[in-house]
Amino acid sequence: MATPLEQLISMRNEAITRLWEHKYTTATRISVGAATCEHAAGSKAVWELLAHIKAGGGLDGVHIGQVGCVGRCDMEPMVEVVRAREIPAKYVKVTPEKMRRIIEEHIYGGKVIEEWTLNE
Amino acid sequence: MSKKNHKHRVVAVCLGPSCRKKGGQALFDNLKVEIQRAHLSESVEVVETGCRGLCARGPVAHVYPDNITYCRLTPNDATRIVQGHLVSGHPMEDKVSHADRIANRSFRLFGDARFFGKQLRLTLRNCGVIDPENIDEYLAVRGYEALAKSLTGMKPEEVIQAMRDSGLRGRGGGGFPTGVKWNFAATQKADTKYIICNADEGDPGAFMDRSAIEGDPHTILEGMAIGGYAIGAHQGYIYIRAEYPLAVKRLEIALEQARAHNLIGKDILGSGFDFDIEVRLGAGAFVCGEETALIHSIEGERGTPRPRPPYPSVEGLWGKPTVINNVETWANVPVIILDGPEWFASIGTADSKGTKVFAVAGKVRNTGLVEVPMGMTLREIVYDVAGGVEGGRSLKAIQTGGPSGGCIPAQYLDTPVDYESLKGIGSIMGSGGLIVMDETTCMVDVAKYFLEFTMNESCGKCTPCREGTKRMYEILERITSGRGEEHDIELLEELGETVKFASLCGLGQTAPNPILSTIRHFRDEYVAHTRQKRCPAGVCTQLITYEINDACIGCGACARKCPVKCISGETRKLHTIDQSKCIKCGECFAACRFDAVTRS
Ligand SMILES: Cc1cc2nc3c(=O)[nH]c(=O)nc-3n(C[C@H](O)[C@H](O)[C@H](O)COP(=O)(O)O)c2cc1C
Repeated sequence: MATPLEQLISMRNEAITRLWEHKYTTATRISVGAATCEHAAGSKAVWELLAHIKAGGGLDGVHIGQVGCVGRCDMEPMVEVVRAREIPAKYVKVTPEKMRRIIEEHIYGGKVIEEWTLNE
Repeated sequence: MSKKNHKHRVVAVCLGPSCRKKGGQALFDNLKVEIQRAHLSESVEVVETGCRGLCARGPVAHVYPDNITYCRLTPNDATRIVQGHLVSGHPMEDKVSHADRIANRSFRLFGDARFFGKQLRLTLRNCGVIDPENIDEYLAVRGYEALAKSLTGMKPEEVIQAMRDSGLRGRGGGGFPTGVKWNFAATQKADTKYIICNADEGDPGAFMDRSAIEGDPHTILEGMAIGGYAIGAHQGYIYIRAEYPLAVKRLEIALEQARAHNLIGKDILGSGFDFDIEVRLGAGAFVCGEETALIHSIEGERGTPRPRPPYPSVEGLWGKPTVINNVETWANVPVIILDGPEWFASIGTADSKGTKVFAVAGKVRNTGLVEVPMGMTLREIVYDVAGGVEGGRSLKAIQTGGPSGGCIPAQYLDTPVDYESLKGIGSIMGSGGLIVMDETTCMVDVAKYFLEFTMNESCGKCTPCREGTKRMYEILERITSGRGEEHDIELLEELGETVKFASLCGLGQTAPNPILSTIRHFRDEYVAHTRQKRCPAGVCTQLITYEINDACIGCGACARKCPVKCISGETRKLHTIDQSKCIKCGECFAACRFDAVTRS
């Protein structure tokens, strides 16, 4: 019988395969901070906006996901945008209004809105 | 996209701007050619990825599902990757990235920001990186591998030895060596043993444990299961306050997923080892974070402490040997098993190994949660990681250890952070609170703030703590309201030492620390409050006097702002404040544009 380690490794490979399909190979990924602190700062509204757009058939080919907090309390809500061939951008103090512009200019337009990104 | 499924392997080449500039594109092209030449096109896919933050070591490529990251590649390495690794199964050892260590596995960019650059994120390695509600994401970053490794090739004694060799000490405040604690419990003869995770986190302003659980709940479960295997326990409890609903929810989701994957529960991964975990909610009393009170609370008793010994590792939950560790302590366990105790012990100082998470707050530019290697100086934490004092003011003191800790004055900024050195300057490591104070902070007021907390949270079981904290608070009230006498300072010291010495549990034994440390380092402020009835920082309102000097042009701006109408004077003539009516609100001080209102 397979050892616990062997079982774990095949379990991991299955997990990675699933992630490949849903996430890693998606050209654009958006991760929204989701923790007590992020929620208090207003990240739920940003998440709901993205989920709403997605449910309406928008953001095609874009993966949206949630992550815990990275510890930058003063900069929350934080949203990370990862696009193929680009350095990931971490947007800070994101509101639904800002998110709309990020989608338009960065996700669709390919232009990072530098002044809204974490720079220190 | 689903075609990826049919391939057995994926080589992901970073084509972020930096890697591409260093030859990533040629590497990518060569890989495609080599794979075709080796007739592997059917089974291997070459894909490009965006930046993963390993720019300094670029170009980088990652091979799935082997999970091997190569760094500093040249276009010519394509042949070696294909022939050596993909065909013959021998990874190119000389180019395997050390970033493959669990510590550095966060593929996303962290190194871009100064805030992250100086950190070493071990326990928080996945926080903000993975989706905490999806076990696949934890599994993908070597999640549960440490548990599987322990169950496959390590005897329980070997796991305990690894903990001892690592030098890990408890992160809940006390700093007791974890391996020694586990060994006590392991060597007890008993039919049942228990594991407890202390997630009570009662220090005001502390949120290290909450954040860790919300960002990466599986790490805690994995650590606890390894602990259970090491000491022979089959049941674990997580004691967490009901005020943390999201953390509780994520723990429940994680538990359900781990059970579904046979990573928690009966016969884990076919090893024959059973271990389950239950979440218990606490009502949020500070004293319930104390281990014996916590155990009473889980048992359904009133959450009050009892004298130790016997320690929980000998007589704990329901009288059985119990290992109780803090959230952060548990989160270190998988790291130590995976990367080895020697590596872990190479981080930190002689007696404090690994990292520590701090919740940095107060008068600092970047408030937040940071994880730094032990031995980093306070100066580096405050100035390099947290961006320095807000508004460019000068730093006066740093408070560590919350209500059990003390204030460290600015002259000790170059002290390396470890258990012993902080104790040496009258504070403690504590569980991770770190409050930065500038010249606008009154040290007597700070001591009063913490004492009010401990006084209210004292469970009342023992007299020294119950009465002592109340009397000390009364004296501090007297001092901050201008009714204090100079001998009150000595009285505080005497009372503080007595409460420390005579209290039953850690709450009372440490409650005087904020007072004693501020008297030790800032005695002149206490003297100013008592002898001159003056608060140097201008915080204690009852000791402030506002006056109007000759610079007054009689514009009347202050009088209009005064909420109690105690400022009078004719237009264009010197105004005066009626001290008997003044409520010291400071409105006049803020309103005057001629520096005519003084505060002293
Ligand atoms: C008043 C009081 C409150 C405490 N609160 C906590 C707490 O919130 N979290 C914690 O882990 N330890 C707390 N402790 C320390 C625990 O008693 C115990 O030492 C700790 O959980 C052991 O775990 P460690 O060795 O991993 O640090 C507290 C102790 C006292 C005296």
